[in-house]
Amino acid sequence: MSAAVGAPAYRGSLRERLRAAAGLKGHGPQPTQMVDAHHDFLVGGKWEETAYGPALYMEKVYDDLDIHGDYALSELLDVDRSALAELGCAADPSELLFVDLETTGLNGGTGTLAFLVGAGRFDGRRFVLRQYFLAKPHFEPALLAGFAAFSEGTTAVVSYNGSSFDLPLLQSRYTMSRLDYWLAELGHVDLLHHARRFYSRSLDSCRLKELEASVLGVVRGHDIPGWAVPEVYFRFIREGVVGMMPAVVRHNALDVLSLATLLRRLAGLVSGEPLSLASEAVEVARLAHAAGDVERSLSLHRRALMMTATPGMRDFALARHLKVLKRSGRWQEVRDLCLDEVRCGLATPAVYIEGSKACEHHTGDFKLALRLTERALILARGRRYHEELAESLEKRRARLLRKLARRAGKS
Amino acid sequence: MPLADLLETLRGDPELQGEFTTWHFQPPRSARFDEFPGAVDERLAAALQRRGIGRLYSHQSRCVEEVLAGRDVCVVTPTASGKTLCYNLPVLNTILAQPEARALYIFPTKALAQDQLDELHGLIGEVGADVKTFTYDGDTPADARRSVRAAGHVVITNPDMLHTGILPHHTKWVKLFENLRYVVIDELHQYRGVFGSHVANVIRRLRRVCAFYGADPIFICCSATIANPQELAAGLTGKEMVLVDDNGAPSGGKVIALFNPAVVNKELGIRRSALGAAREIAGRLIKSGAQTIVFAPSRIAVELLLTYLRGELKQVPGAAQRVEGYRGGYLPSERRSVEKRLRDGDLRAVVATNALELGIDIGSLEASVLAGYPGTLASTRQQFGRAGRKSDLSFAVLVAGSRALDQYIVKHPEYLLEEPPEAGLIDPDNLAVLASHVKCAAFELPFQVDEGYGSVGKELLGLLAEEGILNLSGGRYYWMAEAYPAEQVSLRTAQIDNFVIIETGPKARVIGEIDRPAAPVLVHDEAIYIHSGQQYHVDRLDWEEKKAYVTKVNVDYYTDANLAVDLKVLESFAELTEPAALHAHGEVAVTYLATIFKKIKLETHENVGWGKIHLPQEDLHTTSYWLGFAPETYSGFDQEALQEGLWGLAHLLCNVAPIFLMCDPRDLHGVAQVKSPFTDRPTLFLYEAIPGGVGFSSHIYTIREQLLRTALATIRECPCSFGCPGCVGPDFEGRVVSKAVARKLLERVA
Repeated sequence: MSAAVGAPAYRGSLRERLRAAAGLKGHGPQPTQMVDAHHDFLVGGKWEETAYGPALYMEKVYDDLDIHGDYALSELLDVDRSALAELGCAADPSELLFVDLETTGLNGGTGTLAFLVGAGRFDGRRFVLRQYFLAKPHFEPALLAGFAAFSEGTTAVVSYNGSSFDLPLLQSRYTMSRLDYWLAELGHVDLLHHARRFYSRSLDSCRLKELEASVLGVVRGHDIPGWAVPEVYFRFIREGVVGMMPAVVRHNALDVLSLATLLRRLAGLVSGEPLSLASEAVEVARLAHAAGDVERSLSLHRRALMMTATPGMRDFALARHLKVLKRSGRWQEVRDLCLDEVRCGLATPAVYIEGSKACEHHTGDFKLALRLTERALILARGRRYHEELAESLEKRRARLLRKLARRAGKS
Repeated sequence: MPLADLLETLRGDPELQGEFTTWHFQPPRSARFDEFPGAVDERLAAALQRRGIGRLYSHQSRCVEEVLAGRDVCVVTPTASGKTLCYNLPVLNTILAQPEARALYIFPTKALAQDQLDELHGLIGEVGADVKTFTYDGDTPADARRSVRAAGHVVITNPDMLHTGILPHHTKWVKLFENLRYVVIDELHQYRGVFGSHVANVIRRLRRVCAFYGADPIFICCSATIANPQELAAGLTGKEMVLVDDNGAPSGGKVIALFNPAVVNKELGIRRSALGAAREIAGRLIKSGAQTIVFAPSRIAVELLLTYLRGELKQVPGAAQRVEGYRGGYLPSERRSVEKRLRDGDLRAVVATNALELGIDIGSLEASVLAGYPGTLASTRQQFGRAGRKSDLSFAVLVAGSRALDQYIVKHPEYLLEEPPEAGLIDPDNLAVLASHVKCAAFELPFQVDEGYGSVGKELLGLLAEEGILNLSGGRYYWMAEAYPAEQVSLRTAQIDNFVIIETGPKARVIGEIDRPAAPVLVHDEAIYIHSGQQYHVDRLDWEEKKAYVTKVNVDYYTDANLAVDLKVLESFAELTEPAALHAHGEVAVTYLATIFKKIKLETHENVGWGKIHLPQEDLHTTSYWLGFAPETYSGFDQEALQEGLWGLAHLLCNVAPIFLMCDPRDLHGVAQVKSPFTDRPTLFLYEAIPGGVGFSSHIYTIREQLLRTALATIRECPCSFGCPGCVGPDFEGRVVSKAVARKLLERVA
């Protein structure tokens, strides 16, 4: 250690020390000069008085013939109610509330705001899209009250990933404003859950954008990426810069409209409209089976097996088909289906095993069971990572040989 | 063999190399009881009755009364005095009467939370009431969290989880916060220094959130014995506390002994190691059948002692399996099993780190052996307290190491036996800490423009708003950033991060860690780093990644780096000029620059080479105490002698100050200036290694007289000739006058 040599010490101002402590290392404060935002970007922007102050919203009304993607919005009103019920939607379409939020972050927590609340509902055959915009953070209670008033009379929410994101966030916002969280009373259809079942095996991702492009016929054009959204709002709030805000509003509007189109599409598929993907057929089959219609489920599976699909998708469809047959105790058909697959050269070890089980335990054809098992063994041995499978097949083979010997002894 | 006989043998055992400097008998104390306070629910009283608790100890009864009367209470009682009942009883009592009432328990570790959960479950089961109790921490499965949030009457968590997991999501905890009646903070004494300063801010945030939901919970704090429990509790919670410290629990007689291992090299002041002596004493105790706990200073020491003890017990069939280790790094299941076997008496001995010092229930043992002074009186008393029976005799012994602290304690038993222990110090308004938590608080709830937070909260809010991180709208500051501030703030550090030392080779492994300020001096390129007696050559120091890569070597030299430390006084907060000396404390700016290192031959201390160190300069803005010497105090010393004396004194004071501070010697650094530009006289600075400081220096200023007297006693009683680790530091490079000059200086100012 050495002695200090002294120059007069400079002690930063309190301000500088606080800045350092708070980790503010930038070039000082940002310009705070507010551009006077006329909210020109808010097409149809209106101020509404609520019990909690003024709320700002934009509204657009789509009439009977306005389309979004491959469907007119109003078509949703005409879908089969039982198809909606199969999708877990008990409410009448005229009572649905379509909701999507733009927020200041994706992490959640009480410091995350929903600055744009997009909501859609039917008014007769017209579809009303209303977007509440948080022009200043302290207008939040008014925004929440306005949104609640607009939604009066609806009985179920339709969202995309709403159960993990939008609804918990809204719940948090209502709590922060000490207002009643009325959405808890409503039903909820989270279309992301359906989208995953319908499309995860055939599309690259289940993002709404991907679905729009692949199956809904929606053309987005230039769209702002989601990650860029919070910063647009921060600039608007800090400096009054409108910047990309119109793009954010449009992005949100398209998201809400696509909810209606996606629900229309899925309901159509359930009620028998043409299928375009094997994964759709398998999911509709699952819903039919759940609704007790075994024949329809089986016929949809047979369709799926004939449609173009990746090997993984096809294996999945076959497994589901076999499962339904087995549940219904139709062992002869299990056997026949497996043999068909074998004849076509499509069979995986799993198919041989299913066939072998059906023969051994149900149709009593031990010889055929043994042949299928032996073929499966050859396949299993030829592949890596199949040691356990080979082992269990050996056991099965030994058991079948014993059974055959016993039967030979008896006769 | 009865413990009393065993102790007689032990005391006179000529084979133990060293001496018992103290052999103190604490007489047994009988219990003082009170009836159950009238307000206690009959079901609860009946359940306790069935568990053998027909009356309450006086301190329990007083605590329950105060809490049920709506007062915040700080309970201070020794280990195993039934302190959990002090809070469980009023909490359960309230929930039985009002099922919507909620309580939040905060423990410093997950293990303690688990322990408490088991205890509460037991009591609730006995009552037969539907009181739901959960732990909520990093181990709580995602699917269980929802029910904890909605239904938990008592939620047991830790400060870190409260900080990152609960407060930033308080809207998911509406039920809890709206009905929060009690907050229990156990192991209060753990919340000191930087950690305590952070936790005080987490509590500020907690109270802010409670106020939002209209709740104003009562705080029940429990602390081990420290000098200022009431003050610490008030500092942490921001509330005035009623102190309950009149212990009514009984205890058997106890022998407290201090053992100083024999000196092996008088000149260098080197003694036999504390570990070796502790092993011999513990071995004798265990062999004679006394259930014993041995506290070791580090994880490695635990393993070493465990191996030795098992080796010694080999002759006794089955005995070696009945000794276990217990330290951080063991699996929770292993720890639970050790705890249970100790309670059942199946395990005869355990070797532990201070992990077992905390309130984990292992029953009461017969003997406690401490290998080295644990660093604070409060810890020492807790570790001693692990031995203690309600009626029978017990034994606790501290085996001193060769550090200044240890040697002071072993020669001054009155400290351990009579003095009030150290103060737990925090500074919730430390700027760096405060600034972090203002952000977290603003994220949780918008600040009103006229709402304060800590000392300079308003100013900080203004700055954050200027920067655009907050937005002032309608008289409130709103969080306006994507960042999630709580995740960027760790409660357990204040910007000081450790360097890891990695032994390279086919099986690379981490051999240790050192704190950042020490890194430039100890693990610069080409340094010889000594770890557990083994030499390592530093092949490369990766400054950015905070890693030092080393290989084992066996060379005949060590390295000594020259650290240029520049300290400037920024502001003096308080000053006192006496005839002989000037005392002050205030704010300082310190810069470090490691410049060169010397290679010094072992034994002869010849200089056999040197090299340059290329590392960036480090800055530290902190608080310091300083001591300036009047001319008559150093008359007769030339410049060089004075320099040496001041250095020695800095070493001594840094090592003695923790006696009063409840901090680690590493938390304080010393600098000596022969002619300080600020005071214009020879000056010695003791500054805090933590940015901004947490109040150690102002406390040193307050207790300066005691500190100097203690330092003087230490130097007078040290048997070494020219300096050793126990006083002014080893006399490397022949600093032969260091000790003499330091002693003279002290005699003139103390």
